[in-house]
Amino acid sequence: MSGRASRAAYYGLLTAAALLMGWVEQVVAIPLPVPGIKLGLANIIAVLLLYRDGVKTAAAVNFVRIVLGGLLFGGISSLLYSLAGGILATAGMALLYKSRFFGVTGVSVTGAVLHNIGQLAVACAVVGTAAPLYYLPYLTAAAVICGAACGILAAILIKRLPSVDNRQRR
Amino acid sequence: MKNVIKKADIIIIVLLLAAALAAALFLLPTGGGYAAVYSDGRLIGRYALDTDRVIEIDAHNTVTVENGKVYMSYSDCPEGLCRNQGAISAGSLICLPNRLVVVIEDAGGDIDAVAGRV
Repeated sequence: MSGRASRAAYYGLLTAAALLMGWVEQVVAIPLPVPGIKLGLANIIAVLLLYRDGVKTAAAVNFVRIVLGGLLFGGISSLLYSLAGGILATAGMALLYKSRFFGVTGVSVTGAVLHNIGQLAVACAVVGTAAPLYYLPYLTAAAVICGAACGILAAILIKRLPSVDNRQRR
Repeated sequence: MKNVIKKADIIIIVLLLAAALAAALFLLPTGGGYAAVYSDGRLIGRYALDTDRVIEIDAHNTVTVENGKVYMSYSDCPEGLCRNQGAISAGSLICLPNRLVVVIEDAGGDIDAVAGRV
């Protein structure tokens, strides 16, 4: 398995794809009365990696994606929100994935909901009141819908996308 | 592919949606006649919603009370999420970059359980 280089390229490609998805969502964000609702397309990559390459790889790529995305498109403060959301989401998804009780959809939905909770927790700390929690129910409802959609897309990718090692054998 | 949606997924989805609905119905935004403005977690002032006025908080934010509702009329934050929230008569307006929160409260200043000041 001389896969080191091809793996680096593969993970780099997926990181770039996730970054691009995050950027597009930021640019074409629709103004809504409840801030922070988005599709969370980048989570497709996180779920894909979780199932394909395991917890460590998924966490590493997610971390790199969040830090790069924060530095490139957001800023230090937005990085803090994403990081809190990302860490909570990745940990939760890893637990559900390992438990084997849940399918891809449930894992993705949980990740989406936890991401919001992490971000809201930081928001509460930043503004010094619990007022941001007002948004939690709306964000949770949106996260369930978007998370389910992304989960189904991720499931398709998990099934169809050739793995690095497969390509090597060809 | 039975790995896509399992029974546990349906259960967790239904539970989450039910929790969200319950929270939205029972905990959330209570109205009230006053807009309380918090900067950095400190109460700056409480303004009755029945009197139209423009409140210049500082150089960064201006809040306007109009027709019984309140909205963020000016903010220098980059994304403007607080302005996108529009005019509200319940719930809250939040400008994260400027650490400004506007919460609708009732006369006693008792905001509901969820929005309690930390």
